Amino acid sequence: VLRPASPAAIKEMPDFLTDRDSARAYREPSRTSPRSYETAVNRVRARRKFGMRFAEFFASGEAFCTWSCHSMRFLEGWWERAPMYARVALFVISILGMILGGSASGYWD
Amino acid sequence: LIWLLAPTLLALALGVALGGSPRAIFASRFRAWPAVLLAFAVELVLYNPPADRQPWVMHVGPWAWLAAQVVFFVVLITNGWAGNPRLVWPWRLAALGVGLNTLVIAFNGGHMPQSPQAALALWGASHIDPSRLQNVASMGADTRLPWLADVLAEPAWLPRPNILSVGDVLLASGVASWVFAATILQPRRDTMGYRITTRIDGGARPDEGGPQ
Repeated sequence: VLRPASPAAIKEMPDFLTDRDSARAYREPSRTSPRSYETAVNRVRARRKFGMRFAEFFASGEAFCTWSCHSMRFLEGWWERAPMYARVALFVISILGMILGGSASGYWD
Repeated sequence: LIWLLAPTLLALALGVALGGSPRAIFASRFRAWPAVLLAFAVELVLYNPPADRQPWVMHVGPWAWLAAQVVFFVVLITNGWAGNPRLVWPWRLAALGVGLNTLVIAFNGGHMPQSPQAALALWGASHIDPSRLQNVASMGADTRLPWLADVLAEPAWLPRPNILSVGDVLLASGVASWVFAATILQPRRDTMGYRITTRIDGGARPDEGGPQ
């Protein structure tokens, strides 16, 4: 039995599909000057990229721990390149330090 | 001391016995480990000779210890919320333990109150020496949150028995759970079955770099 197929839903296209469309909306560049057109598109891309980076900078907390985050990344990067025996030793000391240092009993007697 | 380290060692042995690999623990990322080493080193310097009898150390030591506890807490929180999703709950358990300890220390002037009754039952006398810096203080009527302080005495037959807090038990349980989970969740790779099988989608395993 053949049933009539429902028409495929056509997704509504957004008003601003690409940077090119956004550039046209912000300021219509000169149609006769390719350089003017390219400049407008680049401006839109730069604004978008800067805005996303700016939002990420604060949302990730990087703005508040720049020095400590960079130091931690440097040390963690060193961790990836360190010899195996050094990694095992530091790892074991870290776990022991976490248990003994984090506990609050008189272990220093 | 033994009671805090024993669960982790037992968890490691149990994980290996059930087919896990100790190598998997090292492959599990422990974030912010330099902060742990630094805070632990500060504690070792503060609470051991010759620094522990210096007047200025006895003055700032309790607050430095509190700061070290906060560092441990932040590290555990970092691992509990930003680590491997399958391994976050043990870190959260440990973070709860350190958080409780930090709370009690902060409310009691940078010292962990210790039950004199438990000390008497365990050692026969209190080990608190007021002439040097110690992280514990005798529990009194003005002690805040006494039920979270050092009130759980270890069995006297253990070597170097001590008095634990609820936070200590949670911390030891959390770290032991993490060691067990990290060992057992990543199965051993050198088994024959692992080597002769191929994934159904034909994709390469992450550690092999390409299709075999």
